[in-house]
Amino acid sequence: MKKKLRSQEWFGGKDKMGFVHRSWLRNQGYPDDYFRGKPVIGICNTWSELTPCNGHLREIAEVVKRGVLEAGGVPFEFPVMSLGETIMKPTTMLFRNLASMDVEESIRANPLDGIVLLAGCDKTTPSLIMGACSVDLPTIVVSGGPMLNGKFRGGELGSGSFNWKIKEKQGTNEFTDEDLLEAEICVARSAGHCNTMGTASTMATMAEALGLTLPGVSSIPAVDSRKKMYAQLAGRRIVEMVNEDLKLSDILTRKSFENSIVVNAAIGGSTNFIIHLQAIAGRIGVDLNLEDFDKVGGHIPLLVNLMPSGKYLMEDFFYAGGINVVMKELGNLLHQDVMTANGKTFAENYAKAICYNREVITTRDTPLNPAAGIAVLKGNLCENGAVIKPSAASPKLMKHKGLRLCLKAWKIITRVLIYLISILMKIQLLF
Amino acid sequence: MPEVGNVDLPKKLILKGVKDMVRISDGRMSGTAYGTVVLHVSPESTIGGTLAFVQDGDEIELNVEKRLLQLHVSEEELAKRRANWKAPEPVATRGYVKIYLDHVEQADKGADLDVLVGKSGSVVERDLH
Repeated sequence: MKKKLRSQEWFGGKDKMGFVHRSWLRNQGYPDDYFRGKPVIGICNTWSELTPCNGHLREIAEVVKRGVLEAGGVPFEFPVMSLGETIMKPTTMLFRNLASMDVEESIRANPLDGIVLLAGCDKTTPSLIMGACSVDLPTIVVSGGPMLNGKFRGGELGSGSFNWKIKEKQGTNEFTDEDLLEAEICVARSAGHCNTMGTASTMATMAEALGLTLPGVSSIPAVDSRKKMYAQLAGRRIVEMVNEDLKLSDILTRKSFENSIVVNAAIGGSTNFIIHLQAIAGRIGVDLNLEDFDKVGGHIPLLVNLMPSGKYLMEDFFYAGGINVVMKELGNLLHQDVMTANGKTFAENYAKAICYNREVITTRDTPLNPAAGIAVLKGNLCENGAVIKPSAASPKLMKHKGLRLCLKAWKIITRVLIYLISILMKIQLLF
Repeated sequence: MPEVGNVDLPKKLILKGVKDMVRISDGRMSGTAYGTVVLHVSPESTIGGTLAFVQDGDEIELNVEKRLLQLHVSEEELAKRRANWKAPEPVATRGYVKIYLDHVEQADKGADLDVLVGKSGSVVERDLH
């Protein structure tokens, strides 16, 4: 027998409360058959004008609704706390857990059978998944997608990565205030999140590697028509997932977390991945510790040539075949048999991927770095561990003894230390 | 746990052409950043992790191949510094930040609030009102 829909606990009643739950909602003009046993899908939206990376998610939500309706479901879009990485002080990390509480309670308290999570900017992805895990309904993620490549005076600019060069450039007086003003908009050419393999792209890829999206979605630029097409397909799919009772805990197993760690190494993903993946594992109840990141991902080759570790940007990545190619290339380094949101396995989802540019996505035989994962450090300075991303580091500095200099820089929670290499000596060697 | 682990290089060094140096922090780093940066040091300095007791002139050994991050200061000296250490004043005494300070876990566990770990499922026992 088919499981009774959760939403019918609200809408199925013939008593006063059933009337209350239906009647007020019907002020939106819904016909009465909306509430007679159709799967009710919550579209959990982090749209905000103060979260520029997610500024297009109202449009995406409308397309998701189309898919939900086509599949015989009923969509309700609702807002949750949105975390704008480039705006919020002192740091969005302070609010990730708060946003996850909003998500969890908003989902549980409402008459929802399935959830579509609309995420984009760095913390919006983990906060949504964390909150949804603590409720554990059928859930699919639609990531907003990266911005188009930054274009500036004949060259390319990577969002975020360029920021770190500003001080260097200004320091050498080769970059005027006018240059900076022009670069501002040239690096932000369309809707979407950072066009580098920064934390937002890393988080979108993480969601896909965990099996929480339709295959290929994470690398599609925000303004490419295929982003909307997949959003519509996700709307259709979530209704099926409700009918199949395919919950987050059915997808998020230890194996899917290991896949995610492998993929993150292969793409040269952000170190923030570690913290967010562990928090998600903690919510869903999968055992995952810091050493696992090194054990599972430490020996994985770097396959994509994307900033900040490499040269290209997310738009190039998509045109080269995107994440599908990486998944196929990783092959037996991944657990191929894990279930994903579309009801198919990894092996089925990515078997047909084709690479169109080997400059951007290389093969396992010719990796950009043979062992690109996160290294987990131990010692008396970090009894519980610390991490370093070798693919972003200078090889010459990775084995080093030196004197340190303390910097009184940060007043919140964290104190930052600068550890100076033994003065100016080997510095020239860095080039 | 802000994204400042990849502290900017001092201007003085930039002008000398230095592009990278080792940095060690209990903070995070932007995914768009790069450099030889040790992050997420746990336990963090604000709760009395060893990082809090490091002083100018100490020798620190970083060896990524051996997965080692070691402060070369004697146990006796460290114990002395620990005894003289005072925890910083909390940055909040009310509101969400107070809840955060009281409940946040260390970086090696994912920095979730301890009371949020796990799940409560989707069943709501009590009806509206």
